Amino acid sequence: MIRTIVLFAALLLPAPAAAGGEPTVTPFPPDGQAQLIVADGWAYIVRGTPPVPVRAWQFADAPDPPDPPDPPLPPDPPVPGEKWQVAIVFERTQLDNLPWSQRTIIGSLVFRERLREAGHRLVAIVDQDVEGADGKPPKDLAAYLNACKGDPVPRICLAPLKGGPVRDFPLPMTEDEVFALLEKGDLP
Amino acid sequence: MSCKLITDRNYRDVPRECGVLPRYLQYGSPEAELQKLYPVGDVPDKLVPQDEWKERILEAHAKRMFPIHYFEANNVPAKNQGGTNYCWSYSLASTVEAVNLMQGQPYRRLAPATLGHLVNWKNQGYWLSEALTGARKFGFASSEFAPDGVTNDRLFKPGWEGDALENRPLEWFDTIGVDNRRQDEFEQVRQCVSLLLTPSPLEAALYWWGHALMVAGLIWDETALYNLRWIYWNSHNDGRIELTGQRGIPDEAYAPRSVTFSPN
Repeated sequence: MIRTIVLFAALLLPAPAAAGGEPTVTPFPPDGQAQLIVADGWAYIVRGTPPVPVRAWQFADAPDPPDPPDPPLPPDPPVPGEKWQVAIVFERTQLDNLPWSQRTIIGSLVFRERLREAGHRLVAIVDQDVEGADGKPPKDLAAYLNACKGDPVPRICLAPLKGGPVRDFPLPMTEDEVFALLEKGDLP
Repeated sequence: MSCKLITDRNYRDVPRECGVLPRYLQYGSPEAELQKLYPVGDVPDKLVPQDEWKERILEAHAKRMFPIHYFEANNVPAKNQGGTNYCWSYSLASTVEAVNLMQGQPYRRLAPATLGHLVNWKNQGYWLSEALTGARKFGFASSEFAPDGVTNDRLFKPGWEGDALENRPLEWFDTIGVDNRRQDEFEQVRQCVSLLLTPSPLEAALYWWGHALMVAGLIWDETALYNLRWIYWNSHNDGRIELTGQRGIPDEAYAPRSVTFSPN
């Protein structure tokens, strides 16, 4: 009885749409040796013992593939006049090899005050191998130190004051060039 | 700014102290390197030629680059070692504070008394080189854990040892020092001037005084020996003082090469 129902269902089952064509019904061989098995949106005709599938149809819509992840948004283009979090990364043992104008940027309190008055926030001016108490790079500075990794120092790192990706650039030669960079958010 | 000036003429009026013991480590020796003291003379291009000193010192003042500028801009209060002989720790704590400020961190006052365990909490002087090593291992707790001018850890708040690990100097540039015959005096001056212009504070000892202080800057003074007036940060509740002549030249001096960065 069950076998009869199964075979009848198989005869009525619409075959999958032909590529680009109308649905068709595939004749079912009436030899009494076949079984229709329905599972997971597919219909299978099987024969023999053990059963060997001879035909299969997908009669339900396959589950939608997962949406691909959204591609990462490109960083917002720098906005002229944007305010920045600023970090300067250098190598202390090489400070003496820098031009005086760059050493002045690294050491000058006047520069730092000018930075603050312009609305920027100085995060740190540190050696590239700076350590926290645990001997590892300080977590507060990780984003800046990582941005500079592999690049020649000294570098200046900028992140928007409201948060966002870190951009890093070679430290300009003069204080005025630093402020020009901060104004544009990018090198000329 | 008016502050105490010590010269080769008036230095005898200054009471002697027993805060610092003369250095026994040889400059540039393997033993010194083991203590993370790296000779600045090994980096000859770090040394600023004497004919550039005037221009560089004037520029450092114009741009406010010396540690004294950071201390004064942040209204850093003077330290007071009171009746203790812990100048070796007070000067060292000030040096770490200066580097923190120069790294862009907010001012964090440190408690020099928390390094007293290096002398078993006895009221005695110490070697600067050993103090540097002790500070590298143990650090200085913040001032909320311990008051100034004490030698008794029972007055400290619990947790000071852990807090101290946040504030440790790790490596130093070492200077050649001045021997008893002052043979290396000019070289020592040149190394100290060059390191101060890095810019950097110096942890220094003045043997004639038996005292350790932080060197916080220089003034170009054409009436003084080498045209230099040395700005020191003292721990007698006075802060800035100035020295000229041979009295001003550090017999030992160390510039911090790295200091732990503490979270804000």
